[in-house]
Parts: sequence; C-alpha cells; structure tokens
Amino acid sequence: MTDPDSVAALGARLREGTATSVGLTERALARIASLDPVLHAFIRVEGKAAMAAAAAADAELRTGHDRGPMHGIPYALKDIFDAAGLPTTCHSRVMDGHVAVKDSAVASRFREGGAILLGKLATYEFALGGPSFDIPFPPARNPWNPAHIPGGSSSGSAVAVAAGMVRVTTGSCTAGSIRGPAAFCGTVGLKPTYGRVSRRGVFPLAWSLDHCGPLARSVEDAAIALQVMAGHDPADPGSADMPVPDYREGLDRGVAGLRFGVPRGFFTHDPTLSDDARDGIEATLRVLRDAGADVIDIELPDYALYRSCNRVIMAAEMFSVHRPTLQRRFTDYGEIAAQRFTSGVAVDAADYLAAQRLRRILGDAVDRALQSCDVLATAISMATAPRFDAVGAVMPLQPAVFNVTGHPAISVPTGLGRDGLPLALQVAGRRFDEATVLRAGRAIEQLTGWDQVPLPR
Amino acid sequence: MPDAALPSLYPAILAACGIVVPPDRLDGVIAEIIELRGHIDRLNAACPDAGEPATLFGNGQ
Repeated sequence: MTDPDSVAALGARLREGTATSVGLTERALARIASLDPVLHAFIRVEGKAAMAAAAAADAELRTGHDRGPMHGIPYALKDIFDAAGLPTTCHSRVMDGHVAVKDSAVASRFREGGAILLGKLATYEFALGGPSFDIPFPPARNPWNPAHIPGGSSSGSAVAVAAGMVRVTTGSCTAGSIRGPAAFCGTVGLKPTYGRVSRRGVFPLAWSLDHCGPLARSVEDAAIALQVMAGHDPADPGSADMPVPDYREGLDRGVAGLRFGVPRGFFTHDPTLSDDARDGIEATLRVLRDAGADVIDIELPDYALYRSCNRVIMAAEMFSVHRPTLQRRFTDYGEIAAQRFTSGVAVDAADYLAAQRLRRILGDAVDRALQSCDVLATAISMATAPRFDAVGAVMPLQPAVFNVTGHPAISVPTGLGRDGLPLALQVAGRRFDEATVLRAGRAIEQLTGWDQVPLPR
Repeated sequence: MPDAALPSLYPAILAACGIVVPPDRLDGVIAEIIELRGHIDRLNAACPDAGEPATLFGNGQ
C-alpha cells in the first residue's frame, strides 16, 4: 500500500494541484505546536519564514518551475547545521549569540531544491554525550514513551520524524548519532559513505569520523532526501568527487539473490543484547531468507576494537576542536560534554596514530567481507531505548564500525519490543553503494510490516 | 604518555594545557580519562605492527 503522506506522494499531489505547500506547512506547524511542548524536538520553529517559503514554492510550481522531489516539502535541520540568518546553538551556552552568515552546504541544497525549512532541532551538546539537563534547552523525548530517551545526538531529528511533525530531517554521525536515535525512535536513519554529503557549515565533532545524512519516515523518503544532500563540494576537504546515482531507481527490486553477511560475533555474546533485540534480528533475517536473500554468517574483527578505535580518534579530534574554548569557558559547557571533550588531553600523538593504523586494518576487513557479500546486516540497537532515569555508562547500541570504516549504513525499524518501543536492524554496504543499502532497507521495512505501523501518537 | 599513576598526574597535565577544571568536576574528567585510557590500551595491544595509518582522505576516494 502506498503511503499517502510519503514525500513522493505529497510531491505528486503538489504537482497535480490537490495539495499545497502552504497546507502541508500549516499542518506540520500545527502538529509541532501540539506535540512539542512534551517532546522538545525543536529548539527553534521558524513558522513565519516557513509559511512565506511555502507560498513561494506553490507559486513556482503553478508557473511550472519545479525544483525537484523536495519542492514544497517541509523539513528541519539538526541545530549544528548552519542556516543563513538563524542561530546555530549546538544546544550549548558556548554558542550564545552566534548567528550563521551562510547556509551549510546541506541547507543550501535543500533551499535550492525548494524544501521548506521549519526550524532547528535538538541535539546533544555539540553532538556529543547526553542526555543533559544542564544545558540551555531541554532534551528531546521519545515519542513512543516520553519517559524514555530518543537517543542522540540527532535526538530532535529522530523525534520530529517519529512523531509525524515532518517526514525528513538532517542528522550528523560521528559515533552513531544518526542510526542510534533512528533505531530508538522507529525512524529510518542513513549514514552515507564518508565524503558523500558535504559537511561544510556543520559544526565539527571529529573531522575524520563526521558524516551528514538524512533521518526519514521511510526508506523511500530517505532516498529522496539523500538525492538532494549528496554530491561533491570542493569546499569540504573530505568530500568525494563521485557520481551520484538515482537512489529511487531499483529501490523496489527486493532482496532475492542479494547476499547478506551477518557478523554475529559483534552482537551475539554482548551482555547488552536483550531478548527482544535478539528475537527481532533473527526474525528479520528469517524474512529476508524467505524472500530469497542469501544470508550467511561472516567473521570480522572484535566489535570492541572498532569501538576503541572510534573512541580514541574522536577524543583526539574533538579535543583539538574544543581546546581553545575549554581553556576560556570550561564552565559554560554542560558537565557531560566538558568531561568528554577534556578527556582528549590523555591521547598523545602515538595513541592517535595507533588508532589510525588500526583503522586501516579494520576498514580493509569490512572491504574484504563485502567482496563476497552485497551488504552486511548487524545489530544497531541492542535493546529498546532506556528510560531517562536508567541511562547507564554504556548505551545499548553498536554503531561505531561504519564510522571508523566510512562505509554507508542504514538503521531500519523492524517492529516493536514487548515494552512498545521500536527495534531495528542495521545494513551496511560497499563504499558509495548507498543504492543497494537503501534497496535492502526498503525490503526490510516491507517484509517486517514496519511500513504499516502507525505513528506513536 | 606514561600509563602508571596517571590519575594523580592529570590535574597538572590539564593545567599545563591551560584548562582549569573546577574541583567539583575533576573526578568526572578523570573518570572519563581512565575509561579512555582503557580503549587506548586495547588498540595499542591489538596493532603493534599495523602498518601505515588511515588518512582523512583515505576512505575510498
């Protein structure tokens, strides 16, 4: 069954004149007004500007000026992405008074594509740690149960999509900040290949690990958003000059004949893996097999090595970003961010290079696995989202592998646990082959029936 | 960086870096550093002969 509220369906209605961007934007703003006092997805709502942009988008479509699949569709930015004329708070007192002069590359691409910016979304402070209660805005809450965290750092991005405020948001991902909240909130979250989406105008956390990508209600929505976001940007030194294919072409080809490699060693014996998460992973692998996929077990290095590599590189790079500000304004940071950033003082040059040397080996191992498999399927959430009052030192997530290696990876919801909170599976693919990752993700949301699950509220 | 007796050294190391950590936050910072050193020890043990490092521009470009 086609979702009548998908980006593609709404776009068709805009073009046939049975819907208007003004109407879609009004509806989105009304839903934000209704739900956000509890969920805190948005730091800032730009209602007046959004309505003006929507009216302009409608006028353009009436005259035949079509900017593409996001034309007239509302979206929102994680508040570490610059949008010209708006504050970029990074959810931190440290950024008080900052107003972006220029659009980030991503905001610019959405603006050129005719999308309607609704506002800026909650994040963990500078996209790290959290949830925190000692920073300027309250943390976002999980729409499936506000007593539970939504994950982070792209917290508001996941919450806004999961609560039906908006179909598409942006996220950034250094150690799982797109796929983690997507998994906890029951949205799709895609971390593209390193270099696929420009990071220009996005506040850095750790340069060699930072990725930008979409969170979306469905895999098709994510494919459309990536189409707008992807492309070479000479102003981002990590940006890749690689062709961008049509991400919707082949999306519905199914998984028959597709080979999934499952690195069970990552998650099977991990003490944070819950029964619900294990059952959800196994049930999803079964439906993939039943649909004709070839699902095989594979061996990769220990997950702990990927996590340590990610952690050490991130610590060194984020300390480099924040050291000058920590020297002057330590107490303006929230407690979690301050202690995480400051810990980078303990990484010396040899440690950092040891991590980068190991990184090559760990990346090569994934490349080798993907010579005999089309995609990898593995855990993302090891349990459903914890309650705010039960957040421990170790978050039950396994996202670090593909930040270290740079391979594209998606989190796709697969069902609900016994506590009524979402479960998910992660699929990763070859470098710059987001198309196959999206194809596998599309099949998973259909085969598991997730595409028929209603919004939580 | 020496691994032994590090916690007692960190206040001085932080001060040398020009970072003044208020006393009520020092324990949290040191706990974070000890956790991080565990990761450093793991990866150093894993790759004594790991070859050349990956680079910022090395991800398939």
